[in-house]
Amino acid sequence: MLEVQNLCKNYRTGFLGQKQVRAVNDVSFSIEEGEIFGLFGQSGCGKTTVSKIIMGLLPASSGKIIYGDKDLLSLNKKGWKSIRREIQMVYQHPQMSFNPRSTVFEACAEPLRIYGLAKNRQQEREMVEQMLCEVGVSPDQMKKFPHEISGGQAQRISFARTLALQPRLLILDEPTSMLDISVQAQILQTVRKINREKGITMLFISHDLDVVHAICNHVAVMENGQIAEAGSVEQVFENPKHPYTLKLLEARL
Amino acid sequence: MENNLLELDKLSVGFLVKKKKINIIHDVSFKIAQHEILAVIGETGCGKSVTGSAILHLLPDNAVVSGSVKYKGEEILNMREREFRKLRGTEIACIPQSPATSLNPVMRAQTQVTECIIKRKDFKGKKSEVKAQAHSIFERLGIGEREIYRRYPCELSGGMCQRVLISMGAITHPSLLVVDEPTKAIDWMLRREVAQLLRELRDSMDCAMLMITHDIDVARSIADRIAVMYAGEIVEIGSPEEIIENPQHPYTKGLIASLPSKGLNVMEGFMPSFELLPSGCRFSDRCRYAFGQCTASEPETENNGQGHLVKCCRWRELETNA
Amino acid sequence: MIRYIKKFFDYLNRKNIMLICGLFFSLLFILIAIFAEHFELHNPTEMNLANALTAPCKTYPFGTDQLGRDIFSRIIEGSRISLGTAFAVVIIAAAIGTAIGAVSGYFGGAMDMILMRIVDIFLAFPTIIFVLALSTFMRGNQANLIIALCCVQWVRYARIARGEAVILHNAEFVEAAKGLGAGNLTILFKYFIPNLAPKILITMSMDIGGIILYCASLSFLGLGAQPPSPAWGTMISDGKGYLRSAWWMTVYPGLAVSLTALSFNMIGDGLRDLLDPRMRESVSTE
Repeated sequence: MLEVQNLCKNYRTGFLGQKQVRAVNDVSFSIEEGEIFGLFGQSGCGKTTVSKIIMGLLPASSGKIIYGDKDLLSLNKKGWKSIRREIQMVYQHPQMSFNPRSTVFEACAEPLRIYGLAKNRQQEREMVEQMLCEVGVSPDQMKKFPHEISGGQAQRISFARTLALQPRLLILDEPTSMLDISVQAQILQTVRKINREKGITMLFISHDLDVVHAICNHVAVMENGQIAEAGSVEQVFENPKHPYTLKLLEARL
Repeated sequence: MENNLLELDKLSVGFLVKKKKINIIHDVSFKIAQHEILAVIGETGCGKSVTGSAILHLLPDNAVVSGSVKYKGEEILNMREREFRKLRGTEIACIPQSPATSLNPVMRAQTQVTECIIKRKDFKGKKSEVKAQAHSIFERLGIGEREIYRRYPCELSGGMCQRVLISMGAITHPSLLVVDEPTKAIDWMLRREVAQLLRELRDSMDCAMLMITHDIDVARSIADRIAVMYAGEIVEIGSPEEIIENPQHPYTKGLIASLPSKGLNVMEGFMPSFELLPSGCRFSDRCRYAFGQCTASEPETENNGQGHLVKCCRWRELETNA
Repeated sequence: MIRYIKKFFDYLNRKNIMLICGLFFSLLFILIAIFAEHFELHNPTEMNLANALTAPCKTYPFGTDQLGRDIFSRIIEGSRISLGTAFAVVIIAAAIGTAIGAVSGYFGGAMDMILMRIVDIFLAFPTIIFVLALSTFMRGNQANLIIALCCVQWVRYARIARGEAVILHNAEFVEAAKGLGAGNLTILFKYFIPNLAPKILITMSMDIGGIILYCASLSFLGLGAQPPSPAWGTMISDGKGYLRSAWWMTVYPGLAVSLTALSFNMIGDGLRDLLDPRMRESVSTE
């Protein structure tokens, strides 16, 4: 479904950009249709950079990302427009992914307006209500502002907002790292449900091994911008080959 | 019992908001023995940090406190600020959460640590002695190299900053350390390191710890006892094995079951806000096993015989059913 | 909306006396300026040499000037000129500055470089000399004074808006909006402008006071509104020769200038306290 091939991303820093930092270095992996693919790594290992490149928010230095029959990296603006809807993302910080000055309703109606999915106000309202219902948020939350809702609610609304566009690939960037354990369980179950019922493929980025173990089908372990090890969850967790993976598993409490 | 270092008895804290009192923590009672690590676990907003602040006299002015907190047999809850200041830092110290924001960004790591002693009014010793003391702690925490403790916080990694914070709490050799969320926002590998560090610190400094955390794994790995807090009440206290393998209270059961490694089972609902608490047992509106009595009266805290305390009126039935 | 108004008044009741005072006095001054005719006791431009330099009395509460014109009426008439200029300048400058700053911060790169260097050039001149030069170059009427002041003032807004826009540009919610497929215009109007608004509003209300002072000093120097229309600065300038014999000619217009400037500054201060996110947070958690 999505194939990342030899993806590199260099940043230039230092005086006159003489130093090169390799944030992402020769990363390749492929995600199968309908699965939850885990991208595991510690903070600063480049996993978020990978996700931003896939989203088209950052240009890559070299490599290919094959999606369907297209290479995402060589797409122009027009080309992106046609597949923008199909690749969506849920962010790490629950409340911060909403405009602090607009209500939950407006945030949810935003994607509908961008793509002109609702014919009139009435239909827009109904669609938003239905969207929120699907992820278990009661419609009386709609009038609230982002800072008035809890983290768990905000994350559900984040899901609702992307689901309205019926994406094919959903990137989840540490969706539960800021949440409590019981709320994390609720959100992850929602993720599973969405994956199963709608068949949406997911790229799950996380720094929590237990979560990756519990929810993903395939996993890639990243270290310093490179993939250390990749494979099915059973393979990687029960029979790790790479010393870095071993070290990680040993650090389990 | 004479060796109780800290004894909380029916501690309640409320906040006055717009002339209305909102009760946050309610009848919290627990004891910490010398050399013991007690972990208080609970979700965001359950009142665990308020408990820590109450012990350290760090509550805001609009707080209303009742009950008793005894430190080495002496009542400290209503102690005057001037007297308490003698205790805070030397006898009872705290390690605040978020290493990124708790350190002064324009002060070298070493200065921050030694300042804890030098800037005290009753300080009489020599500065060089304090420095030596600080270095020995740095060494113990594995950041002994000279160039590290001369750096500024922004030049140190998250784990390093956490260590500097820990040494700030530990340099005065307190008997009780209140540690607030030591592993929040810390990487997977560092989590274990910090946990081990705290344990080693306890062993080498011979102090007790009150660890406030939401991380059950960390609590399990280093605590001697775990107290579970829900909506301002301690619902269960017991040894880590008991709490995690054999939880008695329905809330603890739900919490443990929702761990990723225990199957991610969903516990429905959210913790109610402190203004809208249900009557009787505070967990009754989410509890699967709730019935008439649960909402009618507040359950007693009962001991199941092995030092395992539960605050639920049906725990006996639930245990026999299981 | 109603909830916010209620919250607003709750807050006022609690402590923001500064804002209340500022709002009260500024509204008073604005109303006086709008309904100037009804407050004037005499025709502000009517000369009456027989009553020249009368000390404050019942008929002339603030006295008269060297041509026998009523100072009180002239001050009230002058408030129209001062406030009108100040509002015009602030609104035009804020609109231009915010637009340029937001665009510069949002697009970054070369666009940002060029726009900010232009801003730097404007900032490099001492303000008052720049305005003096501009308004002598153009003809010295009120409209040209407004244009000259706008040329100077927009730079501040551009700087402030650009600083905020750079922060917003990296905010997660803006990235999320881009991810959803929102276009540049949507992001600028729906995300940037509302989030920039509080800071800009605060600066605007602080600026009004400053611009009233500027106007006064410029008309003192003989620029801007030409006699016989009564600008406050001109009045002070006229009075300076009579300072020993007729203090009321300078003191009352001077008081008018400082009081209006002060009350608008107080609004600015109060607004900053009200809109500062940290302040707001402490209010909502209480």
